[in-house]
Amino acid sequence: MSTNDHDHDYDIVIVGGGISAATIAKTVIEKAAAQTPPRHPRILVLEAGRATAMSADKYDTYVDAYQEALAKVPNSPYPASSSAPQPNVLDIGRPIMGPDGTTRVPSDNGYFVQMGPLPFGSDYARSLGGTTLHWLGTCLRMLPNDFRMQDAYGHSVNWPLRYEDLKPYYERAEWDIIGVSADVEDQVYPGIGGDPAKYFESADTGKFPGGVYHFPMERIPSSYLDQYLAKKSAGLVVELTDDHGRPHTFPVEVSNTPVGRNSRPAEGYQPIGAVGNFDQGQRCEGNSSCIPICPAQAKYNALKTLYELIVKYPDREPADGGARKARVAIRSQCVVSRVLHTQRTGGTGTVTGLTYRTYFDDGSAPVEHTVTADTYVLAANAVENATLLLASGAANNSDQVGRNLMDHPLLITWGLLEDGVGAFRGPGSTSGIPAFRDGTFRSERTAFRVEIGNWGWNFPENAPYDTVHDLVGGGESGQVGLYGKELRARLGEILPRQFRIAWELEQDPEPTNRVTIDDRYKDALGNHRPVIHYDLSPYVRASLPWASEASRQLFTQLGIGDEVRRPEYRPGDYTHYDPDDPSAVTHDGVTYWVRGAGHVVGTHRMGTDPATSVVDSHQRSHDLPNLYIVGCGSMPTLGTSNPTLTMTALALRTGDRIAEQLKGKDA
Amino acid sequence: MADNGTPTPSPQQIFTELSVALTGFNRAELAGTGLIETYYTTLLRIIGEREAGHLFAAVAEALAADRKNHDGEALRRQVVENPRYSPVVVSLIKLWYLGSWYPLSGGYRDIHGSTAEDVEHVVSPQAYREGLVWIAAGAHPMGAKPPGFGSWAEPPSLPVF
Amino acid sequence: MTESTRITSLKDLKAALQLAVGLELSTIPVYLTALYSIEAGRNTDAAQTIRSVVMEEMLHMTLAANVLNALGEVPSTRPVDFQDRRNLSPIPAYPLDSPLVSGIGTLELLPLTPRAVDGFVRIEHPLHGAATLDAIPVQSGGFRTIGEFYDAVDAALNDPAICPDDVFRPVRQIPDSDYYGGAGHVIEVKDRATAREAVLKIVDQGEGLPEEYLHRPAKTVTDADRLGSGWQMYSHYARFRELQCGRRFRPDQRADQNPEGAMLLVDHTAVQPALYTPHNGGSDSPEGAALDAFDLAYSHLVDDIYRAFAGEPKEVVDPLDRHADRERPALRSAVHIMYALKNMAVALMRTPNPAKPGHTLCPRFSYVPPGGDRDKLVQRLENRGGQDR
Repeated sequence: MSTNDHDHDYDIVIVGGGISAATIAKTVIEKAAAQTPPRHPRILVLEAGRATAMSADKYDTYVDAYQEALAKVPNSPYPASSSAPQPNVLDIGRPIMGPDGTTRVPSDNGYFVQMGPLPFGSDYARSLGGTTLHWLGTCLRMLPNDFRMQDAYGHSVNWPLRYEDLKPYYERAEWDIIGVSADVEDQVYPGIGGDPAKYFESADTGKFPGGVYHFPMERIPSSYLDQYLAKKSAGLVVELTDDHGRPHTFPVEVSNTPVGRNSRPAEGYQPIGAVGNFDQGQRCEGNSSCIPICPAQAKYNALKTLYELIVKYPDREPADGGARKARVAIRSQCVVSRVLHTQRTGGTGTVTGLTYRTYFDDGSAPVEHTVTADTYVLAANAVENATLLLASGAANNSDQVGRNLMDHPLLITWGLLEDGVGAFRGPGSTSGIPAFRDGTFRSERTAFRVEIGNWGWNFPENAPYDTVHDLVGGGESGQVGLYGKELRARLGEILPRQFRIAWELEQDPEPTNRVTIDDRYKDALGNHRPVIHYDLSPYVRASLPWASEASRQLFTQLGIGDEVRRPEYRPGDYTHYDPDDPSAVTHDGVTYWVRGAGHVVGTHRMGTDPATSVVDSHQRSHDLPNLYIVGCGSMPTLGTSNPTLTMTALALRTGDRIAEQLKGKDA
Repeated sequence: MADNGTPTPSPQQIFTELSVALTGFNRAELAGTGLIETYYTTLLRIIGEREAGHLFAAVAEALAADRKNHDGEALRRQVVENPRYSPVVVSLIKLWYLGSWYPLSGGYRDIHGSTAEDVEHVVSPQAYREGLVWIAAGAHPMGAKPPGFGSWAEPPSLPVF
Repeated sequence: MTESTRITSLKDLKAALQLAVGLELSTIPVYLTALYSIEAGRNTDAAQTIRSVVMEEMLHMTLAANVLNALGEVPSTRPVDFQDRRNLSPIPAYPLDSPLVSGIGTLELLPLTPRAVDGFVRIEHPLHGAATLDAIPVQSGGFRTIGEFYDAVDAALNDPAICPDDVFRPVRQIPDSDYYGGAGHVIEVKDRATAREAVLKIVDQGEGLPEEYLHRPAKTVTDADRLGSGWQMYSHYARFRELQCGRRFRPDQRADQNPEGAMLLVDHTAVQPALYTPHNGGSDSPEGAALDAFDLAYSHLVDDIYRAFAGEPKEVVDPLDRHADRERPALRSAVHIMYALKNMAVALMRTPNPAKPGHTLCPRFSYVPPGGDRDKLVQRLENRGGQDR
């Protein structure tokens, strides 16, 4: 079986079959082949979940599953196994806390064991393709100050990388892996010196003459709602006052958001369509269901990259006379349970193998295997990486594994506009308001990004379902409200006017927000379930009233400042937060709902000091040099950018490094 | 035989006419969903054929009166506002608009009993896709019938009805 | 052997290309009717096959328009004179007997049935199913096969006496970046060479296939894989033969053999029993209105496509902002209508035909030109508002 030089089964074994795994495999293969002498690594990808569809008709069955699901939550199209369970937002419950602040009764009705005080509100997918199966596709780069929070604002920590270091990898992530649609001139953010062209200026003057960067595809058209809000809010400057009575001003500008969603290509770029059915998904068709599933696969998912790898680098010997090529094997339903290593507490060592179990859904017992490689990569998602390392007692001299768990806690505000803007059309979001993403206020409170939602009250009020219930009646009286043409007309008046905004707060790293393991909580295969302690720091909480106040000022400008509640329907601000909701957070006597954004970040932070960080800037373990621990878990802070693009940039950088190391070895 | 010699419409025809009156969508629009037969069967299985027989008789009589008077008053009084039928009417409207069956109330079940299928469920992926609410909203079902690249940037419009 | 019709003047070449745009358009409703008659989620392989061909017909239509534009002529829906024949309409009306090509016979709108697929194979066969070219009757100024027609077009394009070098101008070209959803690339025509390349692409992929291609491997790739991941397309004829026989070709088979590879499963019971009935005056029923609404949308689609070919924008008025920019790319608007038409067609084909028990409605794909008839159609539909109870 061994074909490499070190008597190992593979050159590289990657745990997890998501975007980081796909990016690293592709990057290593392409870089290594281009080196002198060329190298053609053998790579194994172990995916805990099921294989996913590799043709459009099979993929359509996942779309059907979503359509038939009662609750259309992010994981609804993707079946999970008890052998590789996945978190589900429907399971989010509130743990009961004792008066001393410790957990009295954890909420453990799902996969996560929630120790509180707040439940961690996000999920991820355990299926081949990973959570890119149900991401929104937002591809914002982080801002320069996001990488140097300690230097700039005396809060959180610095990255071991600057924006400039990551820039070339952002470009490659946008072009070579994801395929991002955006126009540079739309990207007006605070903290970039006022000039998007400068912020995006490329060092790759071969590809971008004069360094003038452009994205591989044009922007996805802004929704009619975006255009409406831009017109109505023109000139609005939001004013907020900080703890010292100082005013901060935020000019509101609506900015089209870069996304991994196919649009009209620039010269020389070929959009990547559906897996196995290339002519589908060449453009976003407006299915309005990016989360949980893009039926057309116009939105990037990691299956696209994995499929390319399987087709180009099949795991077999080249035919007689064929050129030597890299080989990629992808095995699903293989759950890694241990990282085998030689590390002793406080010392360093090497990884000597991985133990994994293959499970079957036919009633047979799982089968245990051990696999060895020169290089090991954990790319299983921030939470899964952490539980695996903790269960293995590996790579944790810093005691940071599992700590600094972060998300983008988000506050939803919603209203009924004066005009029909055609809600429920288009991608989940096409624009945002970047004004609050950076500023001096970050020394005392968190920055936030404003995402304009195109799907009416789908998120906050389960629309259009609950709107229909309100109008049609039923319940205690059983009486019919509206019916016939009156009902049809009324729905036509209400639904197109619904809109909502998500105020996505940056979360700062806190050692007490952490994933741990506990032998009392295991899954069907005997692997540890994630035990999560989670709260919002005062730094995060301080921005809740700011986001709320900014929303009020915006809604007033839109002419919908009046507070209104269902089942009454007239233009107004419908924002309200019921204190009994599991996501309720009280700050200064005011209740807010703080939901998860699905951005699971920070459990194996990168840094230069092995005493305070788990991996180096190449995502290599300080303790186990032949182990890379990759993904959003490596991010020391997360700014206000959805993390997938940054994760992909980091994976490219890691891929380059792994390829370089292959170079030193015999061909 | 109904008055003026027209043959009694079939239960399916009555069901279709009732659905037209309750939804505000015409016969061709409802037929275009491909679900008339499915929903007819769904209703019969959940409320039982005997109760459906009472309902359809009441509907047929009311619709005949409304045709004569050119209004919908008989249907309103004798069916929609009739406490015997209104819980079924509510669920039927929601079925057409949302593609899901919403259970009848405890009060209704105390009188008529319930069936095992009277639980909240999405009737089928097609039922979800054909929910009338999306047309009423001038939109399309989330995750189906996409309107094409850039359509969301255009001013919204509602179909004339 | 009968001498085939030749194109001898630039005027006739332009007329021929106007008719070529229409010829490519005319196959699309034929294939779409079959495609949309398939029940949701069923016959996925057959649907994929038909869809792939439809997308390429759209490409061919675009290519013909690009050649025409490069010759300085704006593509138009208006009738043309070609050789000694007057008033030939490029826009199809069904059932259609091609004004140009006698061999393809009558094009009908049928749901996916064996007869429909026989028709597809006939359209895409080099000789349209005839044993020899001479077996096909021909009228003066017409052609026996699509291949013959495009040969004549190509010969004229290649003849500097008919179109001198300076005739070719790269104007009003639909760029490749505007075409998506199917195999192949749009060729932007700027000179004689690219014009001929565009015509060759039409011939190579689809109908108009030279007869000798039948003796080549069935899976000769007409459009190589843009992703580099093993995806490829072979000729329409071979794809439809597979559909007709319910078998795939093996890689070593020739196009004139019976496919003997894996089975291609087609369930003809998972198809709506749509029945085409010609328009017979305004109908007041909801069903009649639905058919009318389809025709109106289809007419808008054809208009938008020709608008795009003419390099003109589509005007969209924003009711909330009368001063907003109204100009939209017409092709983008056309695409929106294509998506809407699909939903309308599927709905029609589920709707019982009140006059024909056991059958459902069938979209007519009837183009109503702007003017009096169009105004009446719009009026009829608007007046219906509030009628149905």
